Amino acid sequence: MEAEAYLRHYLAPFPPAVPGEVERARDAETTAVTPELAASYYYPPGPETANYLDVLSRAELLELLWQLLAVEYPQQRLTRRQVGLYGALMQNLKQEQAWRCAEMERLSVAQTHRQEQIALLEAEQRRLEIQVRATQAEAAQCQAACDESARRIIDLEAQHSELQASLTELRASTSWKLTAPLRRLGRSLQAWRAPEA
Amino acid sequence: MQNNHAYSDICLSEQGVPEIDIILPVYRGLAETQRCVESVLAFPQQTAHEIVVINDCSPEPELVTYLRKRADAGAITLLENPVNAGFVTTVNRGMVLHPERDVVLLNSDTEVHGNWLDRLRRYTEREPQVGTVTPFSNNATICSYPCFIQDNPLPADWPLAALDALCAIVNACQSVEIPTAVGFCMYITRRCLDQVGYFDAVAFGRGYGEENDFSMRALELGFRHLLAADTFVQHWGGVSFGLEKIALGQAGQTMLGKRHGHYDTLVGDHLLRDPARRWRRQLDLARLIRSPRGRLLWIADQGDWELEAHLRQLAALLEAQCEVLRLRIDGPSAMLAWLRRGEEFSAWFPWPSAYAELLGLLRQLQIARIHYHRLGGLDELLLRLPKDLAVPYDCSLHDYYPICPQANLARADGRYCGEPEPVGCTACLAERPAPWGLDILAWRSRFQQLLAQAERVIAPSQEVLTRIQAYIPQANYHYLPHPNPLDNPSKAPLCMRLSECKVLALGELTPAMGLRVLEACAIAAQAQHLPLFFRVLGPALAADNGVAASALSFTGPCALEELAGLIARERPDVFMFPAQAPLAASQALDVARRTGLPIVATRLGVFVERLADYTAARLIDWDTSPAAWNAALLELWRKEASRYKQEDPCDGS
Repeated sequence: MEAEAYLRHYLAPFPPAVPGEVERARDAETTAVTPELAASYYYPPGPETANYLDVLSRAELLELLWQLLAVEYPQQRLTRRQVGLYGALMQNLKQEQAWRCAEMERLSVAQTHRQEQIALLEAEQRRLEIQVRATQAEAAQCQAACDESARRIIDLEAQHSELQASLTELRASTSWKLTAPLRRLGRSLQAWRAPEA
Repeated sequence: MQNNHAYSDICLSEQGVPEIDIILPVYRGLAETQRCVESVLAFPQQTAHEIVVINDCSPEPELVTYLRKRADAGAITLLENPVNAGFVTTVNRGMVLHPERDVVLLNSDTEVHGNWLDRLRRYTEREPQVGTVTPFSNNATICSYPCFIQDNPLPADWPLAALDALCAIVNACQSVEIPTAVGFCMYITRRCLDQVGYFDAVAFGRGYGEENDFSMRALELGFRHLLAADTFVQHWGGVSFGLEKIALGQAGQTMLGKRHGHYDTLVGDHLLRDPARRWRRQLDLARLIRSPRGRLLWIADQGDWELEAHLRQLAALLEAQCEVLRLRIDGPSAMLAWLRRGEEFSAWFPWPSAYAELLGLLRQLQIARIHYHRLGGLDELLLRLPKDLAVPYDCSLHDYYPICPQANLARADGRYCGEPEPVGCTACLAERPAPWGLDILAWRSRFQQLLAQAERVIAPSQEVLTRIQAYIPQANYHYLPHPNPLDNPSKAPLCMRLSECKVLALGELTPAMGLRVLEACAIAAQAQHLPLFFRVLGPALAADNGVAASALSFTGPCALEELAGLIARERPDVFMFPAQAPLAASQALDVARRTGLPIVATRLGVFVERLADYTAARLIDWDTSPAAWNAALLELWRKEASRYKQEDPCDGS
């Protein structure tokens, strides 16, 4: 569609423009009230472009001082000497800020170092804990074996006492005593045969 | 003229000793110099002043004659350099002439208005630390208006007198601190000159950068530089230096960088903060509210390249009849922008908390009509605007948003959904939910309400009109195809390659626009060694598509307005529009049509109606296989190539 035809259709419901209206509106309404918006509405939203001291020019710093003085000492006039003094003060503050930045940097490095050490120690601790757990398991195993052996010893001792008692009883019996000559004869015969064997 | 002379005499005799020298170094340009001198003479000031014109050995005899005539009449004080001493030396000569007076350096290609001098002087009287004051101008880098750091023409319908008078009312007594004065019109206090010294003629002999050097030196001593937001001086620009301007500017910048390492930082910080922006915008608003043209509010979120180009074109077409404002949601804000070319106005309202303030401004601006352009991504609160402003509204159908929350009737893979029953839509919305938490029926009902109450529903194609009308019949539909581009239709040079065929696709190819089809066609063509290669005039949205660059390549982003020229450079053989979902309009197709080259497109959406009367077109089904696409492309290309060969047997390959 041709641009003119499109425009004709598009603008059909619009009221027609009156010739000379531009000048009349511009010149006659110089007192028209201009809408006022909050200053921030004119700026795209984004990170605040705050004025940090280190990006201020000296003139802007002095302006800040002026504002401070206007609040603190409204009656006082600022002399050149005071400007110099405040300038020097501001310089000192900036130096202190630089020193604090360097100190922060140093502390940050130290902190990083300490954190690394802590991480190493924690790793070592974990390793040792694992080792302790392994040793404890081994010890428990040994203890169990030990207990088992003790039980076995007690059983064997009981068995031994029983057998000892049986033996004593046997040796004290009449039949054992009556058959003693026979055992002696038997041993003699064995001794007598033995050299031949 | 005689009156002016009489006024000047009064200025010198009745108001006592002049307190200010207005220094005008002159070298070339009779008309500009005349305009400048006469404008200074034309307006009485309360401050007694003397106009000191210094002729830096001008090569133009008419200019010299004019100056001498005005000097003889007593209107100006004329100093003449016996040899061409250069801009800086000439200015210094003027500044040492009366060592007790403040000075205003005024370029000879400027024009002043009203009590400009009194207004500038007021700032120096208010605070002793003020070293320099610079007014707003159309061409004054950081003091430029309406657009920041640009060489602007004066706003349409606002000649200097009207604009300066408006400045004086709207920004009365408002100033902002700037890192450096700008030399076209620079008020310097004598206190500052006494402590800082004059301009450095050795380092900046021919000009450009000397005022920045001076400003930096002044800053170091605690002086402040102000931009007077209530004064406007017109600056025609670059008369005496002409084309030398760029070279001189670069030399000045280098010298400044060497001398004042923090200059760039200061200026950069100023550019970032742009404290004068609020005063420029106040002026914009004041001009807007005084405009006799009807105010039209467009509501359109950021759209694709076609919509953005359409809006730019329409806004340009409407400039004579309307003031067009555009409202869109921009992150946490609603951004209101003035779409007139050469204007910079924009304001960001915290959204939705500042709705009432936005409404208040729109009421003050007397918005006469609203036009919803892009319904996609629309904030529900914006639907209240016509009722709250009590104005009629139009809606444009740039897509299928009123019936499909996905906007393009496409499934998640970007292919046409076939417009299923509501059950199918519900399944689709379960996967990709609609805004505002509505189901498909509630969605269509919401838009039915919006469209039914619109004064006009503008459809750029019969296709979108018919399709949406089927769902929402009760609306006042208007078929209004997009206007043709304003540029002259350029026919791409027809230079058919006879050995291989270059297929060109246009625009930001998404899967719905046929990106996957194109990739598949390129892969198939390469595998089958077909004489086809594919090129896209637009950005590469697929980073790694596995297709060799020789088979498929992308030019990168481009604007629709430059498409015709770029097509001519690409010299394609066939156009391909492989959209997989229906389109409501396609300006890219219109541009392609105007080349006369063969076009293969899907039988879907606007292509059907726009290619119905185009002889070198082939429409194929949207779900056709890549092999069939390639066959269609080759067939059409061979047919056109043989026809071309018969007409002009020159082998262009």
